[in-house]
Amino acid sequence: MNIVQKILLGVIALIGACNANAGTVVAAKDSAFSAVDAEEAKKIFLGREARIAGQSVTVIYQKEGDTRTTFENKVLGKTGADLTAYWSKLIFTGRAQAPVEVSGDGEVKTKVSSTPGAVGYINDAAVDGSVKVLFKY
Amino acid sequence: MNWKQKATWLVLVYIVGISSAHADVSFHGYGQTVVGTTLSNTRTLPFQPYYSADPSFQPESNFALQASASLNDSISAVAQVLALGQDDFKPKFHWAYLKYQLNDTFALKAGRMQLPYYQFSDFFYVGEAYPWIIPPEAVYLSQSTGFDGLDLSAEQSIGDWYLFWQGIFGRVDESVTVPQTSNNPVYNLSISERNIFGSSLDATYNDWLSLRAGLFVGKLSTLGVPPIDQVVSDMRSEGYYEAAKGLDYRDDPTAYYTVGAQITRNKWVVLAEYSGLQNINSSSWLTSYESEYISVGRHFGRWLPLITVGHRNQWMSTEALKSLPPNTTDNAAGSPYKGLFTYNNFIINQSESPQERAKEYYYEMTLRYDLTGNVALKLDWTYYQSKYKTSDYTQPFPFSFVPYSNPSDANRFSAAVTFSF
Repeated sequence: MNIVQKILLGVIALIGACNANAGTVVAAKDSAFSAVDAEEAKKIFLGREARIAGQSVTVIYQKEGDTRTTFENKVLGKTGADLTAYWSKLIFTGRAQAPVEVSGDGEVKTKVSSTPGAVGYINDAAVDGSVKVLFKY
Repeated sequence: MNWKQKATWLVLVYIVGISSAHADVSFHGYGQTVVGTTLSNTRTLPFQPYYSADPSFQPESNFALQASASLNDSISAVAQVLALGQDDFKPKFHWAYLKYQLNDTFALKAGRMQLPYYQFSDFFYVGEAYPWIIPPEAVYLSQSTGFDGLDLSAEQSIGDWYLFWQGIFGRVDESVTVPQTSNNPVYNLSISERNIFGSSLDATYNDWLSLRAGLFVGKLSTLGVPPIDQVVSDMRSEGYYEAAKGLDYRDDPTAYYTVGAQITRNKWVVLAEYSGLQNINSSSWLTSYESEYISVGRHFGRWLPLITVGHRNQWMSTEALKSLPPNTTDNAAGSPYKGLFTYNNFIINQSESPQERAKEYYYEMTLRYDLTGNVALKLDWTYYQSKYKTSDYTQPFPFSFVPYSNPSDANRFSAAVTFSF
């Protein structure tokens, strides 16, 4: 392989890395929820889908950290104080239930597996057979 | 501590107690600590929050705790207890209702809730939810009003639009204390408004544009203003039925209406609202209001400076008083109008114009800094100015809360820490 081919391979690998999905929206392995697109994922995690297919939805957020920041930027388009202001209006007027906050990918998987109707997000590397993939971002 | 306060704390302790056995109970809360002052004790703003030249932490500080419990897949219960500094931090149920999720779209709530008259009405005290220390006073002069009744809501996404519709029906019973102003002594009002109904529609486009329209109608049952009630009673006993009917505010319907918009795009924030509180009976002497504001700000990292300009126009009709018999200036003992005059030394000039108008202006500069995602610091300077249309009137109309010295102005400075959890 000559130098040009090596450079090209490196560029292709770099492009691939930039486009790699950062995380995954998941539900319980036996969940009745089916795959969603970006818009539907955003609605769910902004409390705009109280029920899906007759099942009440419980939204799981991760506590403050890189995973949450990436999710908020890529999926919600809101972060920090803007997101707090948004949820404050919904929670304190009863329009939506507050998201459940847990620490880390492991707790998300435990929570979605034990709570009917729960959806959460985890890093790609944490995806395994215990959860159903709904959306990759 | 009276029995209502004891009952409020007992309910909270019970909810905390059962939470250990029932994993579906969650707790959240919000609050703010605010200190404010005016530059003068005689030049103050006419409505809540009431500040004087002695800095105070009470008028706008608050703390709330909310417990939410899922009873099953469709039914949930919410209790929110709010303690207001202006009320000596006495805890009161601000929200207390059962919610039934009828299907994917509709939900029904029953119990104690807050009236969603205007854009920020039903979360008026949640400082984290908006950039100012309190929503613009040009529109929000009565702050937040609780009602007991029903609330039916529906939400639906259509293309890039997200729609939220809300309809309510119920009754208001509240006590309001109005401190002494240049026109009036201290008033302790017990306001009851029955058969309040109405609806609002919020439409959000791609999360950067929100539009709202609402219309609500209610009928006053009691206002709790002793001089007026006594005069009406005296007129009826004297046989002046038409005059009494004109002065009697009961069953006068009042309409609350609003259109509003919020834009958040490219770091710019624009909030605007036009609203009104109008007596549908044109000859009613109760005050009508029409107001609007616009706020413009821009995010600079965690900083958000904001400028707000607000205006309120208020008017009363004196047609009801024109129906009084002659000699209304008679202040002699035994006069049925003695109670009214004793309170305000009011002299009715029968030739005066039927409408009284006062104009109020609010100019506000606010600075918000987001310390963390759920703690914010805020600074505010508000300049208030009021003007009466004095060509029509030589005396202030009774029960008008606008300072009569023409023009009148006031400066208020305040600082706040807001939080939610």
